[in-house]
Amino acid sequence: MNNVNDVTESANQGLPADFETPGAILKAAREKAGLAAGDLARQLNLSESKLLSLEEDQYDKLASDVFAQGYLRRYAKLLGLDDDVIVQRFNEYQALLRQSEQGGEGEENSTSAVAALPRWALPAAVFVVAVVVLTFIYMRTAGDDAKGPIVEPAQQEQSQQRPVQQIENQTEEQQAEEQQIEEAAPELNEPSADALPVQQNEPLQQNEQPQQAPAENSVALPAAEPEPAPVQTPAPAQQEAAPATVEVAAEGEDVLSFAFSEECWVEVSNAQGTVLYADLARAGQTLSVEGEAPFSVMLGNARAVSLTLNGELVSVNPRAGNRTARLTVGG
Amino acid sequence: MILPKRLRGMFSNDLSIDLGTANTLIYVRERGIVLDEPSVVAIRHHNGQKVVEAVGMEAKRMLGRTPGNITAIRPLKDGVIADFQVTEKMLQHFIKKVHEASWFQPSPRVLVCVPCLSTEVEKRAIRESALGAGAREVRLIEEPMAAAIGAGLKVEEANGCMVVDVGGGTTEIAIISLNGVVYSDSVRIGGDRFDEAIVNYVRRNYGSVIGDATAERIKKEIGCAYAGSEVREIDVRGRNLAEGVPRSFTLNSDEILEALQEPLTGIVQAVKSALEQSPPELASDIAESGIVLTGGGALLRDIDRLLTEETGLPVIVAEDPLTCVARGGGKAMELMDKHHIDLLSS
Repeated sequence: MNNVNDVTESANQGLPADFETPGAILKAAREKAGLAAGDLARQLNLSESKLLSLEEDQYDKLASDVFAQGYLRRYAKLLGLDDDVIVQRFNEYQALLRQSEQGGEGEENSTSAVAALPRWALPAAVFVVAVVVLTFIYMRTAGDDAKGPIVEPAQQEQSQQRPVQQIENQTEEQQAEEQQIEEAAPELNEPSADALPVQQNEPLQQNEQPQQAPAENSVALPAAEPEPAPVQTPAPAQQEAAPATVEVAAEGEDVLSFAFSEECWVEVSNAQGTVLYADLARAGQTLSVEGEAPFSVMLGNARAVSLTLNGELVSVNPRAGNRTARLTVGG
Repeated sequence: MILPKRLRGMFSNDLSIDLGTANTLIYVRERGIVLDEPSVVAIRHHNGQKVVEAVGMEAKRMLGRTPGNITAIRPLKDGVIADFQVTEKMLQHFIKKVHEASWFQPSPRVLVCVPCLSTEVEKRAIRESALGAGAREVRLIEEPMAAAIGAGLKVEEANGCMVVDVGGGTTEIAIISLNGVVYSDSVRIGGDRFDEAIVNYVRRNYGSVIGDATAERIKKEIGCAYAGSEVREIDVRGRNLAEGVPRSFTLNSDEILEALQEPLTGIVQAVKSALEQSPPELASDIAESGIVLTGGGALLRDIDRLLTEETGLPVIVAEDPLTCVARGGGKAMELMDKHHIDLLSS
């Protein structure tokens, strides 16, 4: 026994003195039974040197712990010992060895605790970020949806208001009439007043390029046509505005007059193809365009229009089933 | 909650699944073996539709005890999928069960162990059924490789080691060195064949019929593989074929040894032929260290002694042999992640 303890103690310092290693137990049992190591090794199909290294607890001489455990188990069985006890002792022994080898075990624990944290933290963090991003995107899109209908009329207002602007800028002498209109639809003028600050940036431009403004309108308006936006109510002013587009047709003496019984899209261009007027006319409105014949006229709702050229009635006959009419007047 | 698999994956664990003929085991990193249930599904036929009635342990209790509209089936046979849809349902159930605490429908990365020598079709079937069960990524590993890693063998060294994994449906034999399988063989003999052999033996010698579950109990309690062991006895009840009534009789372990002779011989033959075919350097390594037994079959009493006697090599049973494959799969997954290598050919 004594020499066994010598061997083990020399091999493993730091173990409790009373700890009986599995090798020591086995060796004691073998010697007690008076068996030779060589015989047992043959029975176990192991080399004698391996058996001896088992008894001396030199497990690193074996291929791996699996084999060490397996050999110990079989050796214990052969000696009639409880193999589970021996294997348990072996595991304890290995654990003790590992402990004594690494003094700084606390560090390992702390690192493992840190390593354990990100496993939970990462998915959680990602989830939180994803929720925040999704919420943000949702808010954005929801906001857009809410704004959507507001923004579009505003743009339409701009386009619709340009002629009105022209009127206001150009026909100061007609302010009296305008006041009448404003009185007629005071509440309706307010939205247009909202739109004014935007447009006041460019009244000069519009004065300089009056032809382009209507051209822009003609692009913008088909979309606006079904929109009975309140903004359009100032349009009655346009019937006064139409004669105001004098500078377009300064050289012409022909006067083209429209009377509308219903809402109707009107586009008038002269022989050169210049668009003189393009806008949506309201019911009850009258419009006169001065210029040089021939005019090419496009009417969106031809049945609602009575058209006169220099006081003479021009017949507007849209094709059957077709509300729009294109015609050339005069010339 | 329907979320993309990737997102759901963040809340799922990596699973290593030992999809065995007899038992399915799932290992989760840092948590160990979280599921160990028989690969049995009970299906209720209702208006021409199949509804899963029970899975795992509960379904196994129904085996052989079901009324006409319920069938308890084992969707795997001989280590490979025999019933694709039922396997998928079973995996789905098990994956869900492992993630019981999770809020989301799980979508884990999964490593599944497949028998070596399984065909591409069989591998594909396993892969597809795991994907169908909700996995977002499926990797496959050969069973003996996983078994070797799980047993704690140093597979990465230039040193041959031999693993014999006696499973429910198959016995896998492999010689492994440098993270690769040098030689592998798979014989369709396993725990099921042992049970079958016991049923046949009892019918032949006692004129009585016993069920598979009883046969398994006999095998676990008194079964042994080597003649020199302690003799044990068990009382068994079976239906007598001549009289048609249940009769009780006593079996002893020698009888069971006799019953198991045929399948055991098959395993011994396979091990011997593997040794014959191993390259000489590896053969000498194996002779030096020995053979490691894993799998449920390794729990058969004295099977290591039988192989020791037959081969003349030290044969040891790995610690906790039933879970070796699943544990090894988990470790293999970590290794693959760490070293960015595909450990395995499959």
